[in-house]
This record gives sequence, structure tokens and C-alpha cells, in this order.
Amino acid sequence: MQVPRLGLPNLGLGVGLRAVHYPYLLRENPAVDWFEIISENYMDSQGRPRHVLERIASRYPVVMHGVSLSIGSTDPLDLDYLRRLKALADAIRPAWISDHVCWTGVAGCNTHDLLPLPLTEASLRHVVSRVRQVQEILERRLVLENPSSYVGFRGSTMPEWEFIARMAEDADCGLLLDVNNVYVSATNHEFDPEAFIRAIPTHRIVQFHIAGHTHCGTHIIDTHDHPVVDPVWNLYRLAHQLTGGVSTLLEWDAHIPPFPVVHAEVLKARAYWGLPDSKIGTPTGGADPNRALDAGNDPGDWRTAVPQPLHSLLVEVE
Amino acid sequence: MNSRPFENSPASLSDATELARIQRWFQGVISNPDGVAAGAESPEAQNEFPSATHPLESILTGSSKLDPADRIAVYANAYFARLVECLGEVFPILKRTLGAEGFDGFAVEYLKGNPSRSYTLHRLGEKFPEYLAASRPPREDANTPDWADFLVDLARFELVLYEVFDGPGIEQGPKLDPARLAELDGPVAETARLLPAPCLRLFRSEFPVSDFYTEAREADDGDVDGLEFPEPKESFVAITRCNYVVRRLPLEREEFVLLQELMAGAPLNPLLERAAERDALSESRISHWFARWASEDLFTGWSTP
Ligand SMILES: [Fe+2]
Repeated sequence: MQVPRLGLPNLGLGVGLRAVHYPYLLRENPAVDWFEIISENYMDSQGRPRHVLERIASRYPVVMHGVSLSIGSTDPLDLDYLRRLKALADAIRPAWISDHVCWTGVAGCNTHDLLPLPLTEASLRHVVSRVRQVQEILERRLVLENPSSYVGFRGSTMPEWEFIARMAEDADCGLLLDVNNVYVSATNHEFDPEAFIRAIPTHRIVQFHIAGHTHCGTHIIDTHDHPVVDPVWNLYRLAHQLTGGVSTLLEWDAHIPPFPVVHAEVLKARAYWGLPDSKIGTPTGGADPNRALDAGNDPGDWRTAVPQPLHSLLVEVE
Repeated sequence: MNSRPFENSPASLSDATELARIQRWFQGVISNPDGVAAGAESPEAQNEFPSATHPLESILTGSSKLDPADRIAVYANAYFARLVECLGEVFPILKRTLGAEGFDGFAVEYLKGNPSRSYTLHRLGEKFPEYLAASRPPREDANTPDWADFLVDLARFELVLYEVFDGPGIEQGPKLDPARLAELDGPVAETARLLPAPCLRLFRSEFPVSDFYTEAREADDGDVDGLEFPEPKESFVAITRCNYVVRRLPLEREEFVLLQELMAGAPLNPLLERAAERDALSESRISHWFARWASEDLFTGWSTP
């Protein structure tokens, strides 16, 4: 019998910790199930971000979510990064550590983006061997997320869901299923999001991400700057059914509303537990409320839609 | 459900070397400010897959709505947008002073020569002031600081604020009790060296950038156009941090010089005697400074040999 969530706890409904919410959180101590942090915002901090994190971690369960592991890069693993990541984990004791199935740069550079891998046997072997190394260094299982992607490779020999499922089994790692990313990629690559979700080994799914996005007409960009759309909620309902429920986290990274609004958005998830799956969304059908029709969201304007997450620092000066 | 076969590529992607080539090519294509067509012609991309034999569409797939170039352009657009936005967070007042368009222009040029080589974005702006200084046009009058000096000063200033905000501080550590200053007398003071707070930085500029920073921050967002560039005026400020918030302390020139020497580890009394004579400092002026430094926690204590 396979243990659900690889034996990791179901933390409930959490929210991504963001600097704009620090004052509210410290003042109000709201009843939130758990927080996810962007690890890179805290691993070198000797100032307010780290101080706030310590206070949050003393009151709430915390998960560390990274954006710079670059597990798929052909550059050597950044051992300095891993050492610092582990030091942060030793200090704040997260429920688990996650990152993305992607590469972020090569030849010593970091694009700070989650770049797509050609989905081949060679890529799979490469990623699996690196996940094993990272798990050894961190002395725990790694949890990896399916990223949103915008282009595919002609050389790919398998669909993304097969790559992820085989990676998880071969490397014996956990999975963070980003339901919005499934929807975004399904739209961009014209596949069936439900088939993706059904192909993922459910007992390896430790966490869900849900988020909003920007629909540019011809494609969707994963901007984390809107409420979650109904088709994504419907996919969430399916994923919830298949897994029996796992830790769920809402990501909101740009145009961030006040904390209670963000929190209320993730609490909507409860409405999708245990309902019939009559309304599973298709990616191309129906109106998407995030469809960007105004000129300000012209996908050709590079100043508008930036895929998230992005780590950042908000300086406070008297 | 789309059943498009995963077609065979001219590049077989059969091993990790092939993956490395694809990655170097992909990065070359998306990190060119002139777009993906120019990126595909860049040396980084050409070294791996020459565009003559390996056009974009032989490596990447299209969708029914977008061709391969439009699709990879999402990454190319995001590359500069993300990093420029991040630089804007490090230099918010410089960005408002230059206007978003002007700032973005400098930022893109800077990023071309200084791509991120770190797991963290927090170091992205480290060399930006240096870059601005190196790329500035020559002064009209060699002896008069001009607008370019002002912009460089402002960039240096904001970088210090950024570094002090997230760097080491004194919130958890020892502080110098002002009442203990009286103990710094007699033989102890002959050899004692003051220990500066790890967050203390001394900043000298050709322009009053700290005052400008305050004014610009208080002005409405749309109002920066109304802010005049200040006249040159040599200015001194101590930057430190208290309760995780950055603080600024305007300094007199002599006070700045004395602080600089103290931070360099000069023994207290010999330094004070020398400074008093050199700058004609009265005892009351010096003790006023000391009281101020102590109340602002600029020093954490002292050491004796
Ligand atoms: Fe995500």
C-alpha cells in the first residue's frame, strides 16, 4: 500500500508569504493554516525578512519553495546554494523543501526564469541523477513542481506528465502539482489538462499550487496576479478527488491585494472538496476572465506580463 | 486532445552534451535585448546551432496559434522585464528621477554586460553605479559635478540603503550604552578603539542625494518631473539600521572625517587630539557628536589591546 503524500502531513490551506503582508501578519496573527516562503528571499537575509520569517515560523508551519535550484541545468549543481538552503532549513525546520522541474541558466548565468527542458530520456536521466544528489545533500526528499511553459522542443519524445511521473518514481521524490500551471501549459501546448493530472502518481503529490494568470488570447502567462479561474478550480477539484486532499497553497505575486483578500481566495478551495466533477474545464472552451483585452496587456509589450514567481526585496528606509 | 507526434529533431538530444548545447542555445536566444531573431544570430546561439542549418522552427514547436519564434519570445521578453523590474526595486528613486523609460534603457545596457551569475537577485544591482559612472559622458567643465555625477551619486546611495537593509545589524547584538561613555577616559582612552555597528556605512557625495531622496519619496508618484536636480553640494551622511529599518544621519564634514578614522580603528584619544588640532574642534562639539553617535547606536562598544 502506498502511503499518501509520501507520509508528509496535509497542512491545509496556505498562502505564500510576501513582504507587503508583513505588517498585517505581525499585527493580526491571522488564523492561517501554513505559509510557503520563497527560499531565496531569506537564505542570505540578516535583516527584516529573516526576522519576520523567524516569527512566522514560530507560529505557523512553513514550507520552503525555491526558484534557483536549476535541477535541469547542465551546469554543475551550485553547492554553495545548497549549503545555504540547508542552513536555512536547519534553522526554520520547514515541513519540506520544493523547487521546479526546469533549468534557470547555463554557462554560469542565472536568467531567474523557469526554463523548459526538452522532454527526452537523456533529460530524464540527467534530472533524476541530480535530484538524487540534492536529496543526499539536503538529507531529505525534494518536492518538485511542474512549471508553466510557453514553448516545446521538437526533440521531445514524451509528454510532460510522463516525464514528471517517471522522474518522481525513479528519483523517489515528491511532487508539487501546480494546477494552474497544468492549465497554462495545457492551453499553450494544446493538450488535455485532465489527462495530465490523471497521469501523475497521486501518492507522490505532497502539495498543490493554485494561482491566477494572464490570458493573452494566443497563449497564457503564469503571472500570479489574478484570482483563480473556474477551469483551474475544476481541475483542482479533480486533483483533490484523486489524492484525497493535500496541502494547498495560493500564489499571488504581482498586484498583491490585502492579506484577507488573498487568504479568502485560498479558502474558496473548500467549496471544491467532494463535489461531483461535472464541470471539469477544457482549456480552450469558455471565457477566461483573465483574458487581457486592454492594450496594457498586449503580450508584445515586454513590460507587462512576467511569469512568476519572482523573488524580491522591499527596502524600508526611515 | 492534441495528438501531435513528438517529431524527431535534427539534434538528437541523445545525451547530456546535447542538452547542454540546447541550453546554451536557448539562453543565447532569449537573452538578447533586440529580440529572439537577433538572439538566434548571437555567438552563444550560433556556436551551438547555426541558424543557417538550424532555424528556430527546427528546434522548437509551434502551436496552432503561435509560431515557435513568438513562443520563445515569451521567455525573451520576460528575461529583461524581470531583471529590469528587479533593478528598479533596488534603485526606486533613481528610476523615478530618470523616468521608467530612461531607467529601463540604462538597465538593459547594464544587464547585457552584467548578467546575473548568482542564485539570488539581491546582488543584481551591485555593479550598476559603477556601470553608470563608466558609461557617463564627459563633464562639460572638468571641475564642476554635473547631472551625470548626480545620477551616479543617487545610484550609489540607493545601493547602500539596499545593502544595509538586508545585511548584518545590531538588533540582536550588544549596543553601546551612552551612560558608559564616561568610562572612556584616562589611560583606557589612549588605546581604546571604538567598534562600529556592522550596519554602519559612511557616505560622501557631490550632491545632497539623501535630501533629494527624502523629497522625491515624499512627492507624489506623478510629481517627480517637478523635482529639480539639486545643485552640487558636497554632502555627508551616516547610514545605519535600527529595528530593521534603515536610518540616515546627516553629518558635518569634520564629523564624517572623524567617524571615518574611528571606523578605521584609530585609538581614541590620540585621534581626538589630532583631529581637534587639525579641524579646530572644540571639546563641546566633539562631545555633542559622541552623544549623538551613541544615541543612534553607531558603535557597539570598544576594545582595548
Ligand atoms: Fe507554482
